Amino acid sequence: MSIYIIGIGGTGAKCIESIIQLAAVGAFANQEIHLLFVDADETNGNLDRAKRSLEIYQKCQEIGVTLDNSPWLKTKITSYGLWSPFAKISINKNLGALFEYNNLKYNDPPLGKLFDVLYTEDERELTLDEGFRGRPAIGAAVMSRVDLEGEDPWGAMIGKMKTEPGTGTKIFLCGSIFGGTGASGLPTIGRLIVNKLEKESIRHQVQLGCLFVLPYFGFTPTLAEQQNHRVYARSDEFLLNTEAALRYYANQAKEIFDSIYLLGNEAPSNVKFSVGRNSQRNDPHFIELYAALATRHFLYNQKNTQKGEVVLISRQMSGAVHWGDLPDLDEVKPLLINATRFAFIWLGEIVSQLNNVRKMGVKNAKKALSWFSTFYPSQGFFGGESVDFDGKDQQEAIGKITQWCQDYLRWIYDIHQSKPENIDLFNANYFANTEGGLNSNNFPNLVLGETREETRKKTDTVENLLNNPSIFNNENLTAPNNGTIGLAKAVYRACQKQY
Amino acid sequence: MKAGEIIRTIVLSLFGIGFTLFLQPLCYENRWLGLGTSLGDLKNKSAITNWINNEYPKGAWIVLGVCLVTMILWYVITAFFASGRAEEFMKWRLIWFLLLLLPIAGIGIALFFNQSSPTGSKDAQISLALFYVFDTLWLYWLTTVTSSPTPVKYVPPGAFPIRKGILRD
Repeated sequence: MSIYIIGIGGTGAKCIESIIQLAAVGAFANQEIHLLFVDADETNGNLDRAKRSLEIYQKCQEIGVTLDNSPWLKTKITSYGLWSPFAKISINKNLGALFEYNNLKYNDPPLGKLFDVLYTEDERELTLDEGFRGRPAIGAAVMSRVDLEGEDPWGAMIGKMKTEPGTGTKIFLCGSIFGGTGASGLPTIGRLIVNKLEKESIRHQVQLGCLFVLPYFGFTPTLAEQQNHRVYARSDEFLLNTEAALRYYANQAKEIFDSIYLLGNEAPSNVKFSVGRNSQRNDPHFIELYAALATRHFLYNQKNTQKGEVVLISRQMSGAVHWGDLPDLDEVKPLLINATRFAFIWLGEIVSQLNNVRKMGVKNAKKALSWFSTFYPSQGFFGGESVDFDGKDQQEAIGKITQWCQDYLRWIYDIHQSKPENIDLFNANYFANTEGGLNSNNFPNLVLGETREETRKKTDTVENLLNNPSIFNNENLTAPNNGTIGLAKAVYRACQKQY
Repeated sequence: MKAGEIIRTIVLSLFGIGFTLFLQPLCYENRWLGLGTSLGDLKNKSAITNWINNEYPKGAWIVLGVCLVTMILWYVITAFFASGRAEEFMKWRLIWFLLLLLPIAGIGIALFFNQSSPTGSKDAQISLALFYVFDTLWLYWLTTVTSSPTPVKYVPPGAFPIRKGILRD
């Protein structure tokens, strides 16, 4: 079974970022995930960060840090990259040029006048490579001209689906319904995909799901910003946009999707105003964690929902998110805890110890660190396998795992900063600074709302973990069980066992 | 400490006690290891027996006791305070050597008692010193080398080749 996830617009990219992080912790197990970003704003900061997280994950996953009995870092993610409706247009990326407005006015005046009624001069002439500025009417016009016939990556994606046997293929679209790109792209692209699948006679073997993200953030542009930009997204119009988009969905697009997920939050978080490009880089939000969990639900539980059924989730207490509010808690919670503990101990302890090894040299390190020679053995008198700690491959592996840990903890930390909400999953302040600012003493107290016995918690220290050869060793690990990869596997397994 | 380390410590300590309290006096009594020619003031059998019964145990118990206490002290402080971090290695090695001063002082005291006692044997000083050094090596060095807790398992000098190479620990 494989799933194709299409993230539309900035929120879509942020949802994909969360999906990548959740896939990394193992929430999607052995599924193969194919990603496609859709955005007119090719330099969007949210998109850029999601692509960066994907790159970090792929690099870490490629080196083979996987355990037999754990789905951690196992999910294969491939990306079809970014598709922009303006990819083939190099100049005049505006609505007027796209619809040949001047020709239209000359050759077909009634149609030209209709165009004048629908779009103001500012909207017609607005350069759209910064996105649709929260205007779904602009986005809908652009998106309606999308041609899935043979154009890559759509052609390649549909082609791949055709080769997949059975009814296991799933497509999931996600994006905001209150902005520009997502609101216009979600139903439009959904419909185009359905048309294409029907044309290829494979609609019956593909399940199509969609996540509409309702308003969950807002911003207030300054007077200067308002004056600088003639057309920009207005957060006071988000609810109106949402209402219109949902009405459109209910009237026109209900039959497109097999499952619909709606996510929103009554208390919007404040974000920095931006019209697009790299400055549109909003921190991850807990709603996006739910978006990733909705994707997981679609992948594993979709059979339990009726066609067109809307899936909703609520929480126990307004203004706070606890473990009990997460769906599929029994599966997801241990995965998040294990990954967070691993990333914390790797950055807070292992990396600094490996830095010490570089300073003191391998010969001394073998005596100074009891576990070092287990993972970086040197050839003995009678031969045996040796691993060169200073070798390029080992050092690169340390770098890749470290990058993943930093990126993952950065994401989970940002999730906890979703003001005004209280996110009570982890003591995120303990990993606010992942570059050298982690205190190993906080390791036993990372998880909030614990049900562990106090005695067990007291012994759950970094020192106990690294100095307990019965849980921290390389026995029964699949190859490679030594070197940096073996070390990472052993640390993850020990984190699991000691919790 | 792991069970294996505790068992090793107990077994090695019992052997050490056996050497100090039983085997070494036997060496004097039967004049093994060339002890017959070196002990001028303990020529006859009754003098040796008298020295072994009255003087030897004082020094032997001092060395034995100090070695065992030092060894236990090493295990206790490392079990409670050693984190196993690389930057602590030199600190713990220094502590190991500082603790070694206690058995060395014990040897000095034991030899002093033998020297200053009217029933002591001046000619046995060298052989006694060698025996005490052996006892210290066995009871402090060998036990800590083979059985120190994981965070400091390679801290005692020579521990790495013995534990990693020979014991495969």
